Amino acid sequence: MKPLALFALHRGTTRHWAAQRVTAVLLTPLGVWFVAASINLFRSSREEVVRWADNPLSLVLFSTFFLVAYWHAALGATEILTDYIHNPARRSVVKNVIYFVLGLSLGFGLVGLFLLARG
Amino acid sequence: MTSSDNTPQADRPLSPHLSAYRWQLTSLLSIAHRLSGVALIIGLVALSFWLFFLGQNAQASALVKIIFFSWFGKLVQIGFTAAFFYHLLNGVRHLLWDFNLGLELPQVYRSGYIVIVLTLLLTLAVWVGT
Repeated sequence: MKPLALFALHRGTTRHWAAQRVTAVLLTPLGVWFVAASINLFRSSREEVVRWADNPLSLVLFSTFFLVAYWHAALGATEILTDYIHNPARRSVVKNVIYFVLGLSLGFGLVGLFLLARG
Repeated sequence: MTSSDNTPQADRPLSPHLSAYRWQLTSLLSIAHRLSGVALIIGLVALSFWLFFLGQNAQASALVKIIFFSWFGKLVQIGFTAAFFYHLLNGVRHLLWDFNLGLELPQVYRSGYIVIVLTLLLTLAVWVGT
């Protein structure tokens, strides 16, 4: 594949393939940062997490990691569905259910993040 | 294959013929990439609910803390850590393949073993040091 073909996003499957790679490349450094930043975070008190979220750099990095991770998750889930659910109607139903659950969970996470950042 | 599938494609063999392959390192790591990906989706949902409940009052966050500190909670977290490192490292391996790097069979095996060893070492580093 020519490198420029990455930008020729005129076909659904090509776009999916490229988006999966772009999100993967973004998630590599963001993921390393997330692990380093969150090693002690999960056992911290609410006050400590609020203090952590008060730092604009960690808030921006975490939000980016969070959104790109959801995007990558949706792409990956779609790929698995394409491989294992061959009936198009059923695949579309399952896909919509998964997207709904992922969207809902993303919303819950963002609300929580907003509340924590507000203190 | 269920007979309820009326589409013409339904009678053709499914794309990942898991039962037709002899198990080997390459196929094992490939399916592990998917399984760890599915686990990480569940982890991402868990992370969202952690944020949500922590964002609520102190009572809700106390409950979250109990879950996270229980032995079962810790075990699940260790599993997520391993899935995270595996998917990250094996994902880099996939990205290198996309650039035509390391596609010779001995290289594929070598990078596979490197991914396994690094996953174990990094997971240990996170959980033994803390």
